[in-house]
Amino acid sequence: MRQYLLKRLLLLVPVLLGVSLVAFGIIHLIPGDVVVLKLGEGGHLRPEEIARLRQQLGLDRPLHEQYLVWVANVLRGDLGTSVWTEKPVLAEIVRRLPVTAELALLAMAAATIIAVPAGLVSAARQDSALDHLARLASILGLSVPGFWLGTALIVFPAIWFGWTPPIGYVSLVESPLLNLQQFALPALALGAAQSATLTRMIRSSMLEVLHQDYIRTAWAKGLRERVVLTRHALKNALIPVITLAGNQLGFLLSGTVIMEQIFALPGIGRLTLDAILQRDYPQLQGNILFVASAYVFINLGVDLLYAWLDPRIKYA
Amino acid sequence: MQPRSNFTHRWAAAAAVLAIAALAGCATQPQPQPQPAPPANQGAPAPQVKRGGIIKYAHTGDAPGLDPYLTLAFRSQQLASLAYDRLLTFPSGEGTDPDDLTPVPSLAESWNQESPTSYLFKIRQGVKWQNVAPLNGRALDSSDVKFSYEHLVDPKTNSPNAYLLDVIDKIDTPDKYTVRITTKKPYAPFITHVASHFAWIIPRELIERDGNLNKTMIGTGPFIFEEFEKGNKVVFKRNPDYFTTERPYLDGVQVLVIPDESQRVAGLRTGQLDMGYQIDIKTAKSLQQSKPDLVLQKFCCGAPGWGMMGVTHPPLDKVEVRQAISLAMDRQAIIDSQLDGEALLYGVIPPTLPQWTLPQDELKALYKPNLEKARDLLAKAGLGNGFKTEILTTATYGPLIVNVAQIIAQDLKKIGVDAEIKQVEYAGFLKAWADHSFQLAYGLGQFAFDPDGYTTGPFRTGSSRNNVGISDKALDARLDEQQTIMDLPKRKAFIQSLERDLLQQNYEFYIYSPYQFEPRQSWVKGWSAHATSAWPQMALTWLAK
Repeated sequence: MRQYLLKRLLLLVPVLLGVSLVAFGIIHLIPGDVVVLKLGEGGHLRPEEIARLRQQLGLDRPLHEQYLVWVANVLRGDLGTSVWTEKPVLAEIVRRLPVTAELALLAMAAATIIAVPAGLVSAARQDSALDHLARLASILGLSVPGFWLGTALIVFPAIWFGWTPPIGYVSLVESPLLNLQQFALPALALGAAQSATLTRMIRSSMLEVLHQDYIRTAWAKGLRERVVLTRHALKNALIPVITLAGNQLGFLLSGTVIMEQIFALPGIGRLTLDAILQRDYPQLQGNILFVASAYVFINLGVDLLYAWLDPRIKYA
Repeated sequence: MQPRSNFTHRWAAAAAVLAIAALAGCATQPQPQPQPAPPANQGAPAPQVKRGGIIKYAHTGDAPGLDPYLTLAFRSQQLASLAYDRLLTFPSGEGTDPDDLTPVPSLAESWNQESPTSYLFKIRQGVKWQNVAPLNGRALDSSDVKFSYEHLVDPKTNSPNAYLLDVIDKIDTPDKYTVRITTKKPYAPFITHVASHFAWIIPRELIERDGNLNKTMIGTGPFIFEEFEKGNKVVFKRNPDYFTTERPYLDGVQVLVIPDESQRVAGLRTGQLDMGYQIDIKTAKSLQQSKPDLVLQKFCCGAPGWGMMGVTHPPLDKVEVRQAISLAMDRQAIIDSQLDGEALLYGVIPPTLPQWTLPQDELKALYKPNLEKARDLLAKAGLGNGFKTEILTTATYGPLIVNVAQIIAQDLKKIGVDAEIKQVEYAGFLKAWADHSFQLAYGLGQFAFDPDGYTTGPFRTGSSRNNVGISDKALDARLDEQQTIMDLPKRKAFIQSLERDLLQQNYEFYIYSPYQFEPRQSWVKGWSAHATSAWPQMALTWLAK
């Protein structure tokens, strides 16, 4: 296991190098740069003005030189400063990370709370009305666009009940109650789509496990249904589900942008979207590198957890 | 009869001397100085004003930066109008006209044009910078004005707003409260530009310490900057040392970043938000129906629907082709279908400058679609079978712009012009301007404070805003001449003649100037929207709750 862990950690280096190349290269391929944006709003685009600002921002150097300078700084822990706000990129990521992390975790929690009982009941009562209901709900969850659900969760309570989540992000530390009120609806909207996938996965995994010999033995021993399903079947059925959930969590960390936009939550998703639109190269490069690293580490954690949960799994 | 006594003679002599002395005193006594004009915001509060409270304003997005000299973005200028002041300002607040661009005193208590190229400003005494280090509440003086304007026009600052004041030749400060500005030539827009919400008076200490004003905001304005949480909010608190001592009434301002309109509307509906930035016309009308107590101020006008024809791309170099394209567009149909009729026509200068814009009747007649004439013009240009072109647009401004671009394409199809829509995001849109790589481009027009901004900027040879790529020496001469005409009626006649000629050339095309709808709760008092979108009237605002 130790060797496996070491191998995975060493593999991080080429993976992150590749990510950094993509992160750096892709933003420079898009037409229009930050100089055009800074000067161009009023159409003030004289060549000498453009040249001067490009030089001030270091954008007149060859791309490969800019990349190497950036990588060298990253290795020193310096992700640079935003070309718009001049604030350190890493500080901005650290400030916004709790928002995205909280939203992702709450969405996963909501998805799990919905999916586990739904998938369990669906499998235990296969082809019953409950099973069909659960499967219909999961298809709806997969089909209904997240942005529509999020918007509906804002508009209808405001019209029907005169209520909307507290506006203006408040951190969990500042006010847990206000914070949870702000996150409840976006977490639900995001979790609904995740729960659909998880429900289907739990259902199919449970069905497979329920046909195993050891489950037949458990029934034969006269154990109650609740004990058979939860203590014997569910634990084994959850093993592949944990892998999926881990992947979903990694996806959520980068995929919360729509909910952040709708519910005005200042997370990393919006930070990245703004950085793309504003061609804030250092901020965007830093965000991509950070999120990619987080994704890779989460995957590593899920693989290790998988091995720990299932003693049959041994990594060379 | 006894001769008159010496006593009488002496009294008469004394009286004469006194009379002469009194007359001499009157002659040499200084003429009473005209009373300094009160600042635009001054005056005792109305008796019912309630002090205190923090106003929550919902905005559509972040300001790209805090330094108002480094960006044209209206969001940055709005924040700047809370923390900074200008020498002059425009009337704003309840009861004022949203389009009133008459310069009135602010940090300058008076000004005087001494000659066609010389202006004397008297700086208000007793104004202090906000009590935040490194300014620490020191007094404002004329050197601050000199520094600010020189910094704005300095090429090293790279300000997109430098063009407003780069006509300045030199700035003298004969004493602590007097500034004399000499311009390179007579320049009619000068005073309006000094009042514009780009000509802020900024602290040199911050420039010397930080190089720019992006890290913080310390001005002489009514509100002190506290924090900028990008993506979330910008927070200000009341400046207790503001030079109009009765104001501001509010304890603070919170500008909340809420990109999604549904949430802004929900916040207004439920009372969580006190006011918000302009909302879509259809949303505004629906909101007012369900919440009748909400104040929805309708005013002229927002960013106009505007386009350019790339004259460096044949056949758009032919005036007949450009005229044909303009004749094919049904502007009124666009206004009716996309804006519920809530817009005005405009040509070159929008109705936000009401004394310069052309009359609506004239524009209605000019813009009446005439497909037959359009086809004749194309035939005259040798393009009787039509041609292919491209309309560059962007969704960054919202779906309305893309919708209108599509309608324009449909209109052009009627005269055989096959226009393909090319939709790019904002940076790509601006790059196409810089490269002159667009054929037709459609987006949102800018706001300018003076007709010069709508004429010299886009059309003069060598202008950095000449995105269409024209070079017409005769036009250049007229553009230069209008800048020097100080007589208002004469300049108006000249400008309107220029507008009419430019409308025949169709280097740019103008679709609509939309009414704006700005929502606020009924308890927000003292506020009135202004076409410049800046917020100096926040100093006059109070909450009746």
